[in-house]
Amino acid sequence: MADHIRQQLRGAVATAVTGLTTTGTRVYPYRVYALQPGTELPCVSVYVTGEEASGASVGTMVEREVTVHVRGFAAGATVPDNTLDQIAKEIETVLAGGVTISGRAVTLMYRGCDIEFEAADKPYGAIDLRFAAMLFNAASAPDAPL
Amino acid sequence: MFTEDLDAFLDEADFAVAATLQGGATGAVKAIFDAAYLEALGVSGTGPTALVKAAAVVAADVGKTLTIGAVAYTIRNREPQDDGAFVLLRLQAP
Repeated sequence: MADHIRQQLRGAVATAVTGLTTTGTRVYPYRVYALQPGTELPCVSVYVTGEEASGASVGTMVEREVTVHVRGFAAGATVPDNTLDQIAKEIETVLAGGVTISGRAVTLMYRGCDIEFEAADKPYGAIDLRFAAMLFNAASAPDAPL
Repeated sequence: MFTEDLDAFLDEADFAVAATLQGGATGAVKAIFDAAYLEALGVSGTGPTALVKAAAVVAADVGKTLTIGAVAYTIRNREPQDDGAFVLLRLQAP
């Protein structure tokens, strides 16, 4: 049995944003433990915190709108707003073509972003890019996109 | 009038270290340095600070470097403490 389509979507997005110029292979799932600035920045974190679902009009099909977060992190000698915008540029470019899960093309619609800065021993910044994906599946098969 | 000896609080034999303010004499500033763990936006970091006599680092020194050990920190903020005799410097690592 394949993974849940949400998991497949996260995986496909993570694969798509791996190897970008600024963040390279530093692509992580949601981090509950702190990122290490010396070895893990700049980076991106790919995760889903929820979805909206409704019954579609055909049979027992489920329609899901999944919000995928692609959150970039950076540090700098000054506020790293330029680095964050560069990260956003690279992510938006690569996700503009959508992703493929189980052989189905999935469009990712850019829904906006939030940017934060905070000082510790140096300025840190994060940009949370939100993408929406519409997924369909039979109610009895959440691992098989239609 | 009673004159406090503030240097008694900054004895290098106890917790203070010698620091060098940019443009000042080497080791002329006595500071109690701390760099406690601080997480910013989910990133592991520290919050370096130096407690010094207010007269040793004045408001115009914000933006200068304060070298402690081999590290030249940049002074980012100067926070008066209690009666203002001491200030807590917020430092940025290089």
